[in-house]
Amino acid sequence: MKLTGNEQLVSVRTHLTEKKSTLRTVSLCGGTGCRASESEKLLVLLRKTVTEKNIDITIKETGCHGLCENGPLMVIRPENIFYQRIQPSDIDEIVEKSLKNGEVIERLLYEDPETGRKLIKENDIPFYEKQQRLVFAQNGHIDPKSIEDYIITGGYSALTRVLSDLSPEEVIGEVEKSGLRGRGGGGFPTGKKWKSCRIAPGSSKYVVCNADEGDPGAYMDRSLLEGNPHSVIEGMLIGAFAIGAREGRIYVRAEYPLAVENIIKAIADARKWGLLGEKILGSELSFDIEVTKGGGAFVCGESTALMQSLQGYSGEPRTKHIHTTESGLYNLPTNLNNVETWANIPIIINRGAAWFNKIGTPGSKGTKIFSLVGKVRNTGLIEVPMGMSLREIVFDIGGGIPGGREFKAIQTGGPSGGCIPGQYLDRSVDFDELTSLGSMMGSGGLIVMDEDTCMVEVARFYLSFLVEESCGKCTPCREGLWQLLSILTRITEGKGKEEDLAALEEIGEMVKDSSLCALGKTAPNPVLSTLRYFKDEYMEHIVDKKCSPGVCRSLFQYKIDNEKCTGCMLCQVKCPYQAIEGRKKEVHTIDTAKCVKCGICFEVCRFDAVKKV
Amino acid sequence: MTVTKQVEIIIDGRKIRVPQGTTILKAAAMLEIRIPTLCHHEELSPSGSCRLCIVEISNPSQNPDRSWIDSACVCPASEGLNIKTHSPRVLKERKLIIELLLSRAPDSQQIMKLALENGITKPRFTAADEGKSNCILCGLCMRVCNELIKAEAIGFSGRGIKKEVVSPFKIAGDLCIGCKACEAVCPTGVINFKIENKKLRKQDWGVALEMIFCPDCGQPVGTSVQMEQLKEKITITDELLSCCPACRRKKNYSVRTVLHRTAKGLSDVSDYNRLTSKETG
Repeated sequence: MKLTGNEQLVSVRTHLTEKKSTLRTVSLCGGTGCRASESEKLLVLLRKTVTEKNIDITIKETGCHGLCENGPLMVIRPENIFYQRIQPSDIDEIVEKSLKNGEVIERLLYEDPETGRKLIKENDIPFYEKQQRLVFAQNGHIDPKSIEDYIITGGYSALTRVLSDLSPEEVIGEVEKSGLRGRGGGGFPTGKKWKSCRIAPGSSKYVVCNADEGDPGAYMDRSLLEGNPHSVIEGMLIGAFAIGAREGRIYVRAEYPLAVENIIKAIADARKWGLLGEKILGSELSFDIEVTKGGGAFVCGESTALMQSLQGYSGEPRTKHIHTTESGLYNLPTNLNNVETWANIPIIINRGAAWFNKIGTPGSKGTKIFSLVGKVRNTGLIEVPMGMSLREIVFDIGGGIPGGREFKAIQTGGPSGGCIPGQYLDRSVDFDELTSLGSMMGSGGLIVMDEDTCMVEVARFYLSFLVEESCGKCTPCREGLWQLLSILTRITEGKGKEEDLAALEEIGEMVKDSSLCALGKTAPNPVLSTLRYFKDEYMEHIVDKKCSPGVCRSLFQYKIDNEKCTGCMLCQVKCPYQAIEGRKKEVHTIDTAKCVKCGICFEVCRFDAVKKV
Repeated sequence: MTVTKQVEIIIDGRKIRVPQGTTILKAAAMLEIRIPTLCHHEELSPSGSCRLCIVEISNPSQNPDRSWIDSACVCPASEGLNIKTHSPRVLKERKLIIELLLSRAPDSQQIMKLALENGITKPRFTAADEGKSNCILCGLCMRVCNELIKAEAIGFSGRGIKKEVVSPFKIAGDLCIGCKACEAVCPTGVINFKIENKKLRKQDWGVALEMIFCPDCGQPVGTSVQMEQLKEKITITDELLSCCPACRRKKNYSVRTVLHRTAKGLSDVSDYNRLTSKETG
């Protein structure tokens, strides 16, 4: 069906809503996290069982619900029953009891770790309670492959408002007033960017969506494209109208097959419905989007490298003295925003800049999606208002540190972000605040580290990633990062010298100052921030040749505690290098000459008798 | 015709008015202030990759407390910029960059000279390839090949410390015409073509091109592909073209420009003149 006007879209929405409101639904999460726990099998089984038992219920495979730790997840509506960690063997019971009779199966409910209470509804779970889901609001509700689902929830109403009531300047004014800043890492004011692209002279203009999310462990943009692709398309349509662009591109990494599949389907549907193409909804706006799959280079998230890659060249940044809003893709004015930024646009238009502006801090407005991972109980995707404290995120939403361990640091902003220690847990999440702490917002990665984490090793790990991902164009980033990595490796191997610390700082500052692009300019952050907050740990490695958390293998040895060893022989059997000696019921010993410190004995010992010394 | 706006900037305390957009490197040259460069060539597109030409920039009228580092070869002049080419911060960071370049190309005369000028006596770092490549990845060879010669015979492959200049798949040397412009522009002198068994060779790029030798004296003149390309562009008899410059002169033929072209192996007179004027200047 091709819609030719705003009124038609409204009547279609009314019609669809009436038709669907009577139906019960069961939403099974089909996000990448739940798929990894085999949710696809569950879906097949669920469909089969429901058909067999002839139950009148709509089954939806939705995008990510957020609480990936406890997947696969399911929500039965309208009762709002939330089930977690579902096994294929549970399906029969779910269909029989819950879908047919509306009964609740206690075993599959979320249990509050504090109170031990079983919680039925999704919103009652502390993980969701403190979140403010705007951009992610529909992720667990709609079928990303269904344009009807998006339209029912009010989808494309922001577009119709823009087309019928607003001028491009008014749209830009609204985005400016909202205070929205780019969610991809730079935090540049979105409205300002749009304005400079609108006024830039050019025979044609582009709007581009940056979906080259490259931070290890981050999957915010991925989940948005997978779970609600039309919100990104609607945002880009509004952007195209405001800027005066006819062509759009989405640059998405090929490693995100489901995101690619869903956005391509969504674009095809939008074309069929007349929401992309010539004279959209009978207006003067003509706009279409092409999807380009990237090869997965981290540097291609940088705007100029991304545009090089879009044009078929290798992804190398250029200096940005001429902004891409003036000369970007094919040297034409190009407005690049990230997935989450685009998805914020329909919300701002629908609810108004004044409403949006009330959320957040003076410098950072709206909400931000984070991927909360690492040593935290509830890993997953969260959306919180800007300004929430790190403590609330880690302890209230994240549920704190598992295993009774102590919090040590939180790494924000992806590989080129910094590590923030415990004394700053009450600082709020905000673009400027995180920068002042020597880290950054980045695209929204949050990695929690506990007392068992070695900060020198953390810095070394991130540097090894960045050395791998540096494009190699400029000397400071290519050679400087390699030298930083060499020094850090040396320190973790117990070969560090005291002058190494000065060299780390010297090289780090130079790379930060004189690299060509933002990758290089931020790449020393993992080193500089850990040096700033955890210098003692560096000194311990260098002077005492010790790694207290027992991570750097060269700096500790495994030893068996004579008091605790029961002579069960388990470690001896499991040791792949026959490095453990001792007879049954006699105390075992580790031959340090044979031991490669694989840690298997440490993991298997049930009596806590294997120690790192 | 649009008139380019003139802007006033200060370089090392000296005021100069230049057309807006003039690079700081160019403006400094007008004041005879020398800023070291390695990846820059007047006739090629700027790259900003070696970062040797970093300068400290501030804009006191906008924010007197903030200064930043940028490379002079790509940074355009705009009104009110105050540029320091030899501030302590610049010198410290530039020295470190030279140390890093030295680790990449320990055998390069030019970089050794730079190191000595900047007080580096002992190499502190070892590059990932231990300096075996002697290539600083400035990309001049690639840019001259693509932009002036238009042969597009070489390019970068890989990224980061694994990046290298190669011919397609490191084997297909057939786009190379053997003009040796890359050899001429290489700042570390690491590109070396050799004549062996009557062919111009560069083994690691898979280049083996038939050479033309002067029928009179036996001196090498150029590769046959290059000669063919030249024939299309200039009027010259086959006999004269196959001669070396000296023998051609003996044949009493005033072809100074042609001599230059063939000797240096460039496809256009202006290219040659621009290149040589830069080299000598």
